[in-house]
Amino acid sequence: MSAKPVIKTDGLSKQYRLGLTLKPVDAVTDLNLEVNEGEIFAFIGLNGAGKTTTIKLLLDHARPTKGKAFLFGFDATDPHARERIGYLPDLPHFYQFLTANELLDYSGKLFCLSKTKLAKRSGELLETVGLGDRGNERLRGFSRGMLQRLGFAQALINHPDLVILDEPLGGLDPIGRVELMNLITDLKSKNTTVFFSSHILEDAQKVADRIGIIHKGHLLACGKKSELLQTKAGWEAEIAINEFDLSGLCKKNNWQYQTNEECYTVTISDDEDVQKLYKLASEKKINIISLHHRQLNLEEAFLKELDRWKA
Amino acid sequence: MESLTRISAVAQTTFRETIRNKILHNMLGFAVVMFGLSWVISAWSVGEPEKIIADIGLTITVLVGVIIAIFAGVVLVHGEVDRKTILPILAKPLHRWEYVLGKYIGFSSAVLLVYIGMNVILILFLSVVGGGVSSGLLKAMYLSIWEVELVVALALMFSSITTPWLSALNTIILFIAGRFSYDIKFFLGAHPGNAFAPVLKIIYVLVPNLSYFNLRHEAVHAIPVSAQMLIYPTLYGIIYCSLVLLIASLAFRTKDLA
Repeated sequence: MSAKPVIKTDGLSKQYRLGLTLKPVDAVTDLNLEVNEGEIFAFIGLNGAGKTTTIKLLLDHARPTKGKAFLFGFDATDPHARERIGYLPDLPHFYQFLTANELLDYSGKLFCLSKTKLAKRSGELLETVGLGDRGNERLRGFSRGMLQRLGFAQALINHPDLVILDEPLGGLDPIGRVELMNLITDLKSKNTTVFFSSHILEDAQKVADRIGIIHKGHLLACGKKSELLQTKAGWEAEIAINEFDLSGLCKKNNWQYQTNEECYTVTISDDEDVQKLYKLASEKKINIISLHHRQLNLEEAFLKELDRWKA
Repeated sequence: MESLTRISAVAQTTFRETIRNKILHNMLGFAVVMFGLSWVISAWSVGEPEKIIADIGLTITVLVGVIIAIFAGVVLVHGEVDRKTILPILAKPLHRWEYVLGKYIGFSSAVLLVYIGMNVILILFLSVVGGGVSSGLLKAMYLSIWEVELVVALALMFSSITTPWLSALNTIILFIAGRFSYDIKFFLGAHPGNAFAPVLKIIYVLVPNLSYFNLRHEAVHAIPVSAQMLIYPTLYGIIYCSLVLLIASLAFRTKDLA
């Protein structure tokens, strides 16, 4: 049985008109996307690719020039569509004059949560994001990381079924990133759908179930992480170090290699070179410890899709 | 019912924001200094000092109210869009019109509180110099509240449409034009066949008739004020504010948040 789409876009397009000449700029073009219940979906692309614009269209912060977006089956322009949603913007700008408790109180009231539920939920969330003792402090004194964590708390105030995070990992220190990624995987364990945009591919690769790659407003690829990364990227051989100078051979054949105290790790792009390596191994008494197909990492898959699009 | 909860949440936060704004405290201090100055002027002038203090005091309270309305009002919506604080708010199940209405209620309540505070201080000043608090003075204070509330609505409307500078400019122009709307009517009466008469008639209808809310002269000179002189301007204020807020909501309904 296929999962229900929580997010669905149908030919979604957005064109802005910029400058005095009202020059048209396509921010998103004909985007067809489906995000299913309970999955972590990473929406990746370079800066200016159209990630934030897509999120704005999903949240009715901007109206599409063409096409439609649906959340839980509701048209995205209908406020009911946002009843089961939590959202964290790319830059955590909140009211400086409010305290953390007041911000959560405000957020909860917009979902019409009762006073008692709200007080309990605010306390829980501040504890979860590590701000349990800062509830009565004004946001003016909060660091960027603290605001990001508070932003995450306000996004979860209504126990959302879908959380939309715009570049949630940007601007966080390594510990903050690990903590946030743990929170994201925690959400998945509660069957909450997470849609997040990022240009930090390493983190996206770690947590995402499915990935969409967007570039200049066009969706270049979209699918399960395992499908996107399964493309074979040549071979990888581990070779034991002996008296033979393997580095010279690698340079001569234009093979990439790395070495440590015990072995070389050689990357070979095509099958002919594998034959060549086997022949040399028997001639020069080289010990090949292992030889296997190499899989792409997300960065390579991303660059490959970009090259294909340019071609 | 849910709409009311959301509107009151926006209003409450806007009220907090405005009350914690330093401009408001400075303007309140400025008003007190000006009341003191009017006391000094009244001591040097020929005539009854309480009348001079009441006249200058009423003018100051309206002017300070209008200055707060314009300079804090024009950043109400646009400022939030600029600072992006609006994004997480409008990502919640909130209609844009609820947001605009909540902003208006919160801001106008804060301005009203400051306005009442200024009038209480003025009454205390008048009591000190021996002038009593006449019903005419209270009626003048009541009607000028509507003048300030109307300027709040105009500032909010422009803030939903354009940049703070343009909003301030437009609101100031409408405020000045509104203050002179009676002169437009007078001119039309004196020169009915004037070539610009049709245009002036349209301007007269569109521009807020702020002179309608001015009972300063009656208050200072103890001229009786009829019930109609309070009821009609109140109804006019309610209708004009509602129309302005409707335009603001419609303009903001499909606005892209940059």
